[in-house]
Amino acid sequence: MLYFENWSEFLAMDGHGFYVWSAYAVGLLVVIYNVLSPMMAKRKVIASIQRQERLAKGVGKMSSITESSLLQDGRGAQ
Amino acid sequence: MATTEQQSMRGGAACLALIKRDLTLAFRSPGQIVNPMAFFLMVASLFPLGIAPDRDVLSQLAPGIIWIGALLSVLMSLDSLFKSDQDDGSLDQLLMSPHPLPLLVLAKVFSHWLTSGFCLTIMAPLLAIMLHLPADAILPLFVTLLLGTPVLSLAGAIGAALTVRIQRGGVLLTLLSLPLYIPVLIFATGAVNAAAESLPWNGHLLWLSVFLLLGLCLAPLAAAGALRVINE
Amino acid sequence: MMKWTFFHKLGSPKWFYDISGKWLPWLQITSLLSLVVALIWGLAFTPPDYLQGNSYRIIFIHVPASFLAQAIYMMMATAAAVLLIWRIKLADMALKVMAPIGASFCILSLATGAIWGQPTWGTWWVWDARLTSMLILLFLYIGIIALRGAIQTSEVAAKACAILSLVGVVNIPIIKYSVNWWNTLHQGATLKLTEKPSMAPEMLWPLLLSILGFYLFFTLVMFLRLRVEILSREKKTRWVKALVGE
Repeated sequence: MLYFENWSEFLAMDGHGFYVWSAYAVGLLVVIYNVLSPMMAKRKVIASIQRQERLAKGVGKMSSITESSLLQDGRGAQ
Repeated sequence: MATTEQQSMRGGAACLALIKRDLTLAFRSPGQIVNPMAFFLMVASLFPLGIAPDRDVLSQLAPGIIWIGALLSVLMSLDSLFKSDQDDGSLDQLLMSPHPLPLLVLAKVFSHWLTSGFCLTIMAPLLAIMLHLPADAILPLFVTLLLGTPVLSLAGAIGAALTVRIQRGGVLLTLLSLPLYIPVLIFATGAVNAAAESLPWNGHLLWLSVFLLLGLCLAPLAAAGALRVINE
Repeated sequence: MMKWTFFHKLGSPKWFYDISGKWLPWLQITSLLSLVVALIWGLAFTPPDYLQGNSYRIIFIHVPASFLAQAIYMMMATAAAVLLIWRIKLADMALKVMAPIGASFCILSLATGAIWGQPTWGTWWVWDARLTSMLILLFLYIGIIALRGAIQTSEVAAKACAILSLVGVVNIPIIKYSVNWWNTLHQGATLKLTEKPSMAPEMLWPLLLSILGFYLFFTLVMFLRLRVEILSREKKTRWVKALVGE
């Protein structure tokens, strides 16, 4: 059974609202950090692998081209 | 192939040779020995300057101040445990020697203790007087330092081995060693505080001895393992 | 011989990547469900504590965080042993990946413990045995993360962190005992955060569900990080290139 009469009582937590909610907020932050961190890392890793692949393909296809035009090629492909 | 008996005899001789070499090197640069002692003195003096020269306050805090000062001084001196050998290549010689590396590490830690923790232990009664430690507690302080500073050197050797190849690894060495130092600190200051109140302190001493035995058995193994891993 | 092939399969990053991919959706659903249900249950559907009023509701986050912070370190030590004895690469990746997760839960436990302290004892921090031990555990985590960052070579860093976590795991019972003893010297036994399940069943069930939810969440997050680590370390292999290059 619900132990609070209405929303404002729920938020106030009988005067302890600040403590309860800040504790839960820290919990939420930790959860968000743990979810976001691998997601961002994954994006970085995939980007670096794709970049590595593009460079390798570029070198394979046109081995006579100078380094600067190789870089241009990579940028254009994006 | 030498028999194991012959080899272990040579192992002992090797340790003695290592100790002699380290002590000779240490005496050649006396700063290595004197600087931590000066640091010890200065850190202990900071507390009355920073808190209060009040006799009662100081005598309560004295065990902790002296022990923390000793702890920090040992930490400062740990950096040189393996680093100088790493730099001039003698660490590689040690790694290649036929003698068990943990034994050699133990020898190095012993000479390090002689030049750091042991000297601090000798100095401690002076600081005890400066910080108004009750007379009853001076002997316990000396004994706890005598038993505890080797543990500090042993446990610190693990961190020193792990960070030997890291540039400016001194702070990291401190970070790694402090959790190992906390139990020693707790029981040592506990002993001195108990003695100051004329309570029995044998139990604390037994615990310090346990830590010393554990350190003597396990720390050389861990430090040797770390040295091998780092220098692969 | 089936056992050995399984064991060797376990060491294959690709095998783990494939299998964990299948488990991910299940983990996402169960962890989200159990956490949300447990916390709403704890926040709104349990009676307020006789002594502490509503602030005790922090327990539903504080206790699971504490359990996890300690359990994760144990898992790290196990991974360290596996790495040093059997040299399984996956064990090192697991060791690397678990450290920041464990540290974050450690911080969560400390923060919620401190926040809980204020309405309960009128102070934002108290040097009670459990909080102090948790603080020292945080030092252990920081040490491992710092050591990993300071060593450039990946294989050397792996073994060094493994040794460090094993040293730490030996240290943990010593610290617990010492801090407990130190605490009894300096403080009365009245200052104890309620953790024992001598709680009313209405409070115990949501707590257990919350602990389960946190463990599931940890598994999910660890799998996510481990998969990224596998992709990163195996980026030169064909299967990764095929996977990404699509």
